[in-house]
Amino acid sequence: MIVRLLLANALELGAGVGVAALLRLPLGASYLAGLGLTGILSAHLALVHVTYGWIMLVAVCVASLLVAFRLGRLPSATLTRPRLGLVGWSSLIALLALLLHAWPVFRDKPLDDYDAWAMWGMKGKALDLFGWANPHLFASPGAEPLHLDYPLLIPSLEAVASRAMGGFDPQRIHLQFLLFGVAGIAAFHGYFRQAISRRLLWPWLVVIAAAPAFMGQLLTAYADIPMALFVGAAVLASARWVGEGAIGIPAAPAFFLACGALTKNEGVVYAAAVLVALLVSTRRLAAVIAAGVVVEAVLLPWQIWLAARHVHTDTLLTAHSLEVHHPGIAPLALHALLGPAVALSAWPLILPLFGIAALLARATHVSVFAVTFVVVAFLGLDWIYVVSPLEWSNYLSYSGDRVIDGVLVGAAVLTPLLATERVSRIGWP
Amino acid sequence: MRRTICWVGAVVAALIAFPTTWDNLSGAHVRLDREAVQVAPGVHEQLDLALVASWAEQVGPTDRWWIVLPADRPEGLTTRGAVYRAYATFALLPAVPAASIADATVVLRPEELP
Repeated sequence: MIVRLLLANALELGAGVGVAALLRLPLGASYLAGLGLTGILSAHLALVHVTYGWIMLVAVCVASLLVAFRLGRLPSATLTRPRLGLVGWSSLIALLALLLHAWPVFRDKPLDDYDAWAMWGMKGKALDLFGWANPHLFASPGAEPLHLDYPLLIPSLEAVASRAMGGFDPQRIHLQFLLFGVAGIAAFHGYFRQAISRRLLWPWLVVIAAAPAFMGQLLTAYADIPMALFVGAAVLASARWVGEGAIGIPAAPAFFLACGALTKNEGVVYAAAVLVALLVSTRRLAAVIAAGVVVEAVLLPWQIWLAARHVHTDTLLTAHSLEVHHPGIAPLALHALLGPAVALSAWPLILPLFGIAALLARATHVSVFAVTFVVVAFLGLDWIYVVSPLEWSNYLSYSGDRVIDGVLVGAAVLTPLLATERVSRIGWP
Repeated sequence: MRRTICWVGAVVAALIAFPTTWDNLSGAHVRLDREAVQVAPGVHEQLDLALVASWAEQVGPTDRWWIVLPADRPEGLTTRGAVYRAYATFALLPAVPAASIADATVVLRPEELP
């Protein structure tokens, strides 16, 4: 069963190679891009009664590799001995030890965290059983309290994994989330390799992967960390686009932002934060609008399906986002969001180190982008609680420590970039 | 200097994070038998598993079910009845919740929800 899960993930990695070639991503980002592509395709095809199983996995992988071949960007098999140094080797061993330690924990974990079974797992199991987003469930008023308006990228990936394993397994499905973590860390490694020294690279990967909130939340099989990984990749791709002079359309950021927005509704807040930060740091309005259009285009089939099926939404940031239900709580909510963001037991030192790195980087394009992203993302998340019709303190206590994941992962991946002179000197006059 | 601060900070952060996460993972490792895994969400939410099992006996794979909730009470962001409904939605698949009681092929009427 687990071997078939790994095989399916290998095909998803292969699917990402073509995306990496098309969007000029680092090769290390292929796996995360492949999960994103598989998630987008399987989620949208589920709306039109097309089951995404082995045939689709193989077909998309082959097509993607052909694209990479045509573009002349297939990965080469040259092996070089890594020069890591003591801290580098220690970090690499720590990452591998963490993965080996986590594997049996994820493999044996029962699906007992509320949203994991009531929302994400229920939809994943249903997609596996029905083969598609059967509206008798996915648009049923009887199931509406289970957030039917949340998009289907994660449930679809769960269903793809379930089909590979021969059925929905409430324990083994956690391994798909651990593999998501591996894909994210690999993507960050790919971007880091292009921009920062090995001395900084490996310890920072450990900081992210070993953060208690990162691994702990990944184990819950909630969608927050997968979304944060997409946000982290989008932020890195954006920083690269900014650092390289903001030429053309920021296609790679748009792709990862679209993946994030199709993972959770809160992904829209992160997409907006990244796009605003891109605009502020580069003033390339047309390019930023184009990126926004790409994100919206990826979301559109899901939005049309929701509208056509009259699925109620009280969380999607539409016209509801202008109805202020809790005026005056914004400072309290922001304080509550910042609490777990600086807690040593959740994301140790990440936000303070980001602040120091941003201060020392001073006014570069990349630092302006980084600071704007973090500030706008926090304010956007704060706004969710101001406009939500739910009782805000309860809502915050249930979701506040998770909704910030994207900011923290984003800040974590930006910090070593800001500390790298070669990056921070680029661009700003 | 920036790089040095960032490097030292990363090493300190990693030294704080790694043992905590290691211990958290060790503490989270549980081994359950197949049956316990299947009812783990219900156990976690302290639901009446015998009641849900009786629903499963009444509901076939193609049914649309409806639960007539007795007096309900708030629980977190939801209610006790909604937690039972959520669990039923997960556990009774591929049977689905009906759009309304009139649309249901099976109507479940628990006397109380512990």
